[in-house]
Amino acid sequence: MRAGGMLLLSPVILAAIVPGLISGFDPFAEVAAPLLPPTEGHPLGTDDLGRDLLSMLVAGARGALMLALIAVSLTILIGGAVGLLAGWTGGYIDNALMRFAEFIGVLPRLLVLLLVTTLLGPSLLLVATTLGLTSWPGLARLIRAETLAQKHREHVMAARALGCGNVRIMLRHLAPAAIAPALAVAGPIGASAILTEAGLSFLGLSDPNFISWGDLIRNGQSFFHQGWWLAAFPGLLIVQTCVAFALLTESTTNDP
Amino acid sequence: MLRMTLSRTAQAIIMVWAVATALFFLLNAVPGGPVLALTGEFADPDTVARIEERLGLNRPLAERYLSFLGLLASGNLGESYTYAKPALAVTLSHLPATLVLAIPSILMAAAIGLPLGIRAARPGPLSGVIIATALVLFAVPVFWLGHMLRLAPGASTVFPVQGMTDPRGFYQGAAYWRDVSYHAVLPVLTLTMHQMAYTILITRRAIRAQWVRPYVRTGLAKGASVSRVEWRHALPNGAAPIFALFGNRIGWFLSGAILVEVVYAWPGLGQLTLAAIQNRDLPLVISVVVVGVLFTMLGNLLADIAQTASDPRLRSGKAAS
Repeated sequence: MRAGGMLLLSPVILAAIVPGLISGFDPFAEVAAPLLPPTEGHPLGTDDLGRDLLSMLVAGARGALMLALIAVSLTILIGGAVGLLAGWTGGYIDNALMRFAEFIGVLPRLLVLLLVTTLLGPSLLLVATTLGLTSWPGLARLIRAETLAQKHREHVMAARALGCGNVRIMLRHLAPAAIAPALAVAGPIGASAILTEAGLSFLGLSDPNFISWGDLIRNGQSFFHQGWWLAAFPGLLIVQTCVAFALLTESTTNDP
Repeated sequence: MLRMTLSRTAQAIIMVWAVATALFFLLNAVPGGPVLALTGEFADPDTVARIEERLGLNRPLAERYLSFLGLLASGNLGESYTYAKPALAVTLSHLPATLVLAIPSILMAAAIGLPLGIRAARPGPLSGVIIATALVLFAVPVFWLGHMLRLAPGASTVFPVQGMTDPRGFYQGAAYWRDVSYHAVLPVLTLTMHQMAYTILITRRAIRAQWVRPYVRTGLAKGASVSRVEWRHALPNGAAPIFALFGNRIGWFLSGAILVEVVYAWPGLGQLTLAAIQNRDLPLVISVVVVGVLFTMLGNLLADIAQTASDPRLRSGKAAS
């Protein structure tokens, strides 16, 4: 499973690091006749302004992966910190943190993003941060449960008896147990970050400084009868990337 | 039970207050206020002042917040700026259209996804096919799926591709509902496929985790059929995440379905939300989000109740966490 995920993801990573390797056109320049169907020089065709679709998709990879990376890192950071702290300290702090997690958890995520981007202006960084700030409650709950299970194990008690401080116990003795749940959610969170951003762009709220696959679909939708490829290929690329993300972590969570 | 009801109610009240307050200040803090959205850029100052006066926007923020809290306490979310009607009433009037899409999708996704998810927990090539399908469906952007379904060969000739009713026909009673369900086919199909992916993946994982339990081996050893063990033993024991999924998704269907509503021009809550945000219609935005949050909480509550009902161990009041 993991190999399959890597196989699907590697072209996207390659496109993000060295865009020129896959396609040689400027994604913003008019390089051919508009609405050219997939042909030799332009394997995925051109859009309504004569831009090369493959080059645009390649240029969109960097934004998509950056978004997923930021969202996933923030989720793991916040979810991990909250889960460890709540599980280890217990009592009032635990209660307050978990109530807060519930509060964040019931917020309708797409609505929050719509509000934030409409009011503060569309920016990829803002979207990624908002996604990270709203995606952590599930992971926090998982890590809290894991911490509770570890809390009274011998190695933790030994560390405590030897005089380790709370922070050291949490980071050195409890955090390793939290790695598995954190990795397990990384794939789905990354995939859903990309999907949500695509939806936002589809509604016309994409960052103008980045090429967004969702925005390409939005544009392609209005030219469907002249060029089916404009909406079809960006969609397929999103599917490929998100399946890859899901596969990458499905392998770590699978099978007892 | 009483304690649980009380604490849930208190929690809901706090949640609504927190969400409404956050939105109130967020929406008031940014430039391009509601008056600008109502009048356009070139309105004369007199008109702007009159509208501000009428909406009470010329008062200081603190005063407006206090009167907003008063309104909130009385269960009134204020009057929509764009509809000039109570915001809550406008929101609730759009709810049925969204439920027409949400309820059949959730039910169909459960009816198809549950058996497939349980089947996919067995080893074998068929499971691989089911899992692969579910993974792909999970990865498909829901609006793109809707778009592709709509443009699939033949779909647009058989089914209507946008709107909830035929604008040419003024149907009544049963004919009206026939018209609506005819229009709902493609959006419901889109939402069902999306929700089904989640159902299959979560169900599979939940059942898979039960397969290693000793009671499964016991059941099989005493001669119970595999499907009996799956449905009668493994499913009730592993049901918690499945209930949680469905509880969680109720809120999603009220807000996340925006994308599908936009693709199919369906006049539901999602479209209303989008317009409310774009128009800076503050009371309407707050009312839509509050309704969304309440539904999510209701979904979670229903999940808890269903779980308690299906698992006798939880009934004694000592919840296993």
